[in-house]
Amino acid sequence: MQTSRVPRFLALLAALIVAGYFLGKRFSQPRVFADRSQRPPAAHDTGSAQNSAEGRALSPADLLSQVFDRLRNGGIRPGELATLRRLLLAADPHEAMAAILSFLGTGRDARTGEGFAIEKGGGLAGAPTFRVMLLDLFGRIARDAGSEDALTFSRALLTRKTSADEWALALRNVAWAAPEDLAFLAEKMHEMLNYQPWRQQPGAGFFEAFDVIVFTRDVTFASELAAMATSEDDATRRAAAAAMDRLSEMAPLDVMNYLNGHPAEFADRPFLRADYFSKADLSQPQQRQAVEAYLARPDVTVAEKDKLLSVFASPGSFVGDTLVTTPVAADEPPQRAVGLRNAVGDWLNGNRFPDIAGPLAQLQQRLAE
Amino acid sequence: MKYPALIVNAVLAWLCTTGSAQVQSVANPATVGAAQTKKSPFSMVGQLIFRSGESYFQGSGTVVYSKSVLTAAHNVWDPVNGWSTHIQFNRARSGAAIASRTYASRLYVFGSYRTAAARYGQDSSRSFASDLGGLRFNVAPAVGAYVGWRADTGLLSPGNPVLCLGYGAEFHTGNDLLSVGSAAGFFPVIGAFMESTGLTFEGGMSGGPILSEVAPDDFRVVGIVVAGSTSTPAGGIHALDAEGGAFVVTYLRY
Repeated sequence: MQTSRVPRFLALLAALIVAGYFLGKRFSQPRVFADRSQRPPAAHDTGSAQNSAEGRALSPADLLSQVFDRLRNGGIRPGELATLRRLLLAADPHEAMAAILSFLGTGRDARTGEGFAIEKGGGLAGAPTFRVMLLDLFGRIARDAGSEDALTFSRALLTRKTSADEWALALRNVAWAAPEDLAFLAEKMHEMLNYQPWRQQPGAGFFEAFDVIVFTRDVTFASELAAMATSEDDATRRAAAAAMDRLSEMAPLDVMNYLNGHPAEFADRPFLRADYFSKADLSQPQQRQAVEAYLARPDVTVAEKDKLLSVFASPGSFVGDTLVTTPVAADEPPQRAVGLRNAVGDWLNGNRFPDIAGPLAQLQQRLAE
Repeated sequence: MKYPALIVNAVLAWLCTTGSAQVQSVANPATVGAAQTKKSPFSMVGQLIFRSGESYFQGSGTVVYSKSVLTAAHNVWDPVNGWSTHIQFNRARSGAAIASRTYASRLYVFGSYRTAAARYGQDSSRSFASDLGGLRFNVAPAVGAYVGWRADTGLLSPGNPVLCLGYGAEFHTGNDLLSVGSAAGFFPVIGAFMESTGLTFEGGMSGGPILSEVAPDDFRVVGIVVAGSTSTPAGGIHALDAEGGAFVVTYLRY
């Protein structure tokens, strides 16, 4: 040790001894937590740990009650939530659903310590609260059992602003059980997007619910997504731009017609707007007409049109686990490439778009490689 | 309770006064060299040049299947300019020498509406947890050759040496392959995002591979470079976990 450090060390040691004496006294006292439910347990569901409830053949209702109590008092053990999920999914579906319904009716809740995480197929791998976990399980069990119980409960839940995470699950449950009821889903989704407390502090469930927009294929969301794409909040900008991209992939003609009919939408995000036209399948006459209308628009800059042609050469897609939709197929239908080559050839041969003749020639060259 | 507290405090005091004398060793990226760049697995890594908006940027990627390259999502898409274009993959570049130059024909971003970047903001080191991107090509960048991968985060734990590669353009030209190795391991931060304070990455290395030698001369990609900081030395990676592996198998197996 260097000589200059000795006095520093002794002084610091003395100060810490004094502090340690008082801290020691304080930590010797029993600690009381005002609200134990607010303490997320440091538990991670490994699924490997056995829990005492498993061997006792408890009813789903008793299981729920027991695990919830341990969650509330901080006594939950690693793997216990995973075990509960497994047991409820394996239980008699009607008994399990009755227990879940009964519990959800109490309004009680506790944090789980998990994040909101989606797994393949739209189920949750992680739920931030006990109620969100149960809403997920309710929907999954009801779907497998062909029951409408989760649908009924979810519709009722969507009449009250409980939490964005719960709404995300309720919307998913409705989409699963009543996929034809797109008007209801769109109405509730608009309501969710415009509810200021959730909009101002968006969480994981709020963003994952954007998948419902894609599911509805409803282009009237374009206006809200355009506004959110220029939000000050990076998270909101990102989710809105990605959702619009996926909506354009799901309903290319509707989106292109909407954007051509509403030239102000995404005008301040021209390169994003160009991406949304790149989803067109030019082997389809109506989609080709919509792209031609866009390329002929005088309000669209050459740089934006150039972006579209560049994206045609290397289109992009978001893939991953989402609540209600399925990701795009890995293979493109071959007629799509043929349609693009034919359209570009026709446009060049007929000198249809002289202001972008250069980029069109480059695209033709890329497509020939 | 008093005596353990006293002991702990004494140790803390000692650390406070001697900490500055014990500088943790941090590895920095260094040039691989032209000869080494031509050998596998180095030769499967390439420089990415791409356009986003009206500017060009640089990143890195690795050939993981005959016609596919694994990279970072932020090389492929951003929320203002959308999909990157003119993505050029300059494989095994060393100065002006390039083994092959190919252009991506299909892009993928692996993630959801709520990526970690969305939750924590672009400036946070946690921004990159879901940051995995993929490129497909009409022409095989390495004439059918590629480096294998393995979805096993255990290979990133302390004691397992890894090699991190990429085309750093912050303190180097960006035209030479850089390498930085460490056996200190990476610790999980959030999701598949892991960090190490034992090494640093340079801007431009994003998307480059984290290689683990699973058997003699058998290197596998076990993660990709996604974030770095030189002010507080740290390197952030996206570990190839089960979900990342499923993405690679589904969309990049070409």
